[in-house]
Amino acid sequence: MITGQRILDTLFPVARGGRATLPGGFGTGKTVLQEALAKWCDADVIVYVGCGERGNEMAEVLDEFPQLEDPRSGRPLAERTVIIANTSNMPVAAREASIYTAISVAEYFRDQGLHVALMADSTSRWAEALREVSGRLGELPGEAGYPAYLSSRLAEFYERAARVKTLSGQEGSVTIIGAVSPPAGDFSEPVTLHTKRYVRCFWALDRQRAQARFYPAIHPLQSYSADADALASWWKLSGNPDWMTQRQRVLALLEQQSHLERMARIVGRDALPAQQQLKLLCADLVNEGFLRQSSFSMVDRYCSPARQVAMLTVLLHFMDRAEAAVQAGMPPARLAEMKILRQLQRLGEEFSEADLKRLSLLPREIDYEFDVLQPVPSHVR
Amino acid sequence: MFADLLLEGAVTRIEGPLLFAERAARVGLNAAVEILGSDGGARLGRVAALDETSMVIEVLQPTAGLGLGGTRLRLRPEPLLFGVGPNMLGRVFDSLGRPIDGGPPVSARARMRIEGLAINPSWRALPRDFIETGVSAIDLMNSLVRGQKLPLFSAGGLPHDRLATEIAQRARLRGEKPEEFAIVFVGMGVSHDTAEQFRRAMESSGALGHTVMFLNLADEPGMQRLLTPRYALTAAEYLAFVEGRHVLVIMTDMTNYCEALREVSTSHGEIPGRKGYPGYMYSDLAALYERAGCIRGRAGTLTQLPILTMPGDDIGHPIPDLTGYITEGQIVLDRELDRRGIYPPIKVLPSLSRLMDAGTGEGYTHADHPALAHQLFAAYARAIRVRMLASVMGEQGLPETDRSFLAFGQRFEDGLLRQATSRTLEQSMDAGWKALKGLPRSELTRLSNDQIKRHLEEPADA
Repeated sequence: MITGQRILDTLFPVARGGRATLPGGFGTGKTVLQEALAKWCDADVIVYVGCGERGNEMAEVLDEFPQLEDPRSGRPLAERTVIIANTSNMPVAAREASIYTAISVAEYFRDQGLHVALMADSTSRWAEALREVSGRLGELPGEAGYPAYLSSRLAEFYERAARVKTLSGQEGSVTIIGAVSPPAGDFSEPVTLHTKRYVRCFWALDRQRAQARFYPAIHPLQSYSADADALASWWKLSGNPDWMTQRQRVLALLEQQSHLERMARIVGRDALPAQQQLKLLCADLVNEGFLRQSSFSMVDRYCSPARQVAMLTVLLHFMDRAEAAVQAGMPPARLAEMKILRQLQRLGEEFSEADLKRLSLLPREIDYEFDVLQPVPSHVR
Repeated sequence: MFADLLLEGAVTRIEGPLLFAERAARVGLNAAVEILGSDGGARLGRVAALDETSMVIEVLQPTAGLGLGGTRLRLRPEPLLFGVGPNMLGRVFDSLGRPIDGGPPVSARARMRIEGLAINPSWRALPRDFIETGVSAIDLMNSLVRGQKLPLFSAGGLPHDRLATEIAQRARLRGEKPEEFAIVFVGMGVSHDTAEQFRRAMESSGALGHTVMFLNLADEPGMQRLLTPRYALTAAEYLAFVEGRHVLVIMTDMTNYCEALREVSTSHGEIPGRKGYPGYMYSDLAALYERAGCIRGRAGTLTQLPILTMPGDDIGHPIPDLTGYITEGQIVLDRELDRRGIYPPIKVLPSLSRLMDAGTGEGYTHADHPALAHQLFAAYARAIRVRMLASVMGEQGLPETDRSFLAFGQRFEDGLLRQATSRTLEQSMDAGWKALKGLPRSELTRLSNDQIKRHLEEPADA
């Protein structure tokens, strides 16, 4: 399933009929991301459950969706969306039911041979409703007061995601993306843990990234996707046979970054060898230029696979040239002063879907700037 | 339907605030009850639980002196109602909506359920309009929008009362007539001096005329504390959705409310959840917070500014945690900034206003407002990181760029956060641009080239 979010499609993709979860403390952007997915993912039908969430958020969805245009059909987005609203001040028993209502609606469309994406925001409220009802029934509480059957209920829910062949021979699917709101952002609480057992994609939202207003605040090292291997062939068909290696390279870079940053904190960034300084520079570039994507920006809220590939190619090209340059003795500090860097950091904002051609010329500009680059700043000479 | 009945000799047991009685008449859950003691006094209560043969009544006033034999119950056919009317402005009420300022009773134009009714999400209008609070860290970085609920996370000893008072005095709507604005102040479990301070401050600034105060003092029963915000929000809903005013509800202190909730829940013998708070605390808080909003076709709006003190300065404690999941963002006060003498001590990074993007920018505030706020956030986050680095290896060991961020952090805190008087949004934005000057252009990734040119570069001819 194409979500139009770079960090998801390129690093942690979800397949049609897959199951993903989105855990994060308050203020990490769960709802904004869910809404972005509901707007831009390439499903035929969206079922959006606001389960125990804010009334104003539901109002926002109701206000915004009729105005937005579905990039594929040209019709208002609202026409492909079913909203099931249970705001947090509505009865608890209805909250428990809302999730089941939603998945039944999704299955109804699935059986018509449509691809359905179900956004559940948030399954924690549903689990709490289970807990509240269970408490009133006087059942024995399990972990953290949740009923002992919490895990099997979660399994029953997530297992309803599937890709099917309908009786008339068409193909339909239900993809579930469930948000989890762990108390105090602690991922070791029962709902997150049990959900983790049943999903294939885990998109962990990170508070530190969110506080720096780095959205989507998905932590690249804590997240994973079990669908990635299966989707390599899809990317190959869509014209990017190198996707798997590119993805590995980015992930490895980010992994190294976290090690190096820890080291840099002790000895200082300048004391690191040139190669490692370059690694940090490149990782910053990938974060700023590629992974960051504002849902509120008109240009960047949706990123087509073609643009994702083009952007990644440009960035990797820069990294190749930079590595070669450093190997030839160029100090990394000089690279950090390059003019093109600012453009690369704002890649998503400056090149819209219509500018793909201009984007494909960028590697040549990079080459040019590297060719004229001198190891010593010009004003010193 | 239920009838208005008087029941005699039905009381079987009294235990603290709970009164057990035979269910000798048909009665609805949550219905209002008047308890007439043999001492002649009438107390207010409501039906808390029912079964085949008996009922439990929560008494909202002290039960001392009630006997079994002489106590009569007047069962009302309706839940607790609050008589609201236009002359509530400028008045002071107690926890149960009775005037305590010595003035005459309110002439009720409508009697409304204090529990309120959930607003149908599809009738809600989207909160869009900006409220100027005069505080840069809020206006510029975490804007408050009409119809939003934005809590202030504070801790013991921090100046949250002062900040709330100042916001109440200065808050204004851009381009709206002042008489359309009203403030409802709810003091829950507050000390007498806090309540008095607020009243005096509002009086001296002349704002008392459009303020309604509800006071539940610290020594009043917990049960009443649970009702105070409900009475107050009912009054606010009346002012907003019937009279068409823009109402700002300031609720202090939600921590006291939650403590009362725990106390009452325990007295009912319910199974406790996290840290002894009842499992339904999320739903209960939501029932209050969700009463904020705008309704399509109605002129008024209801905005909430709840204040809570985080027990042990812990943002992961159930009270701030559950609040944060319901409200649209939070403003966090910080002890370290306070110790450094920066007022208001708003810790910008963990603060957030979710509706900011809906209420700022072109057509609402200023076209460059959102980009500026994003850039300030990113740069300040970096400054804090560099500051940590500097504390380990010293300022001298830092690269040039990092040092410029260190200086930016200082400029940001002194020039933007710290403020002695109210600032308009334009003044706040100027302070923001000023703080950004001095950072290398290549680091300003959240601004477009055009914005940098317009605001950060000196005009060529000057």
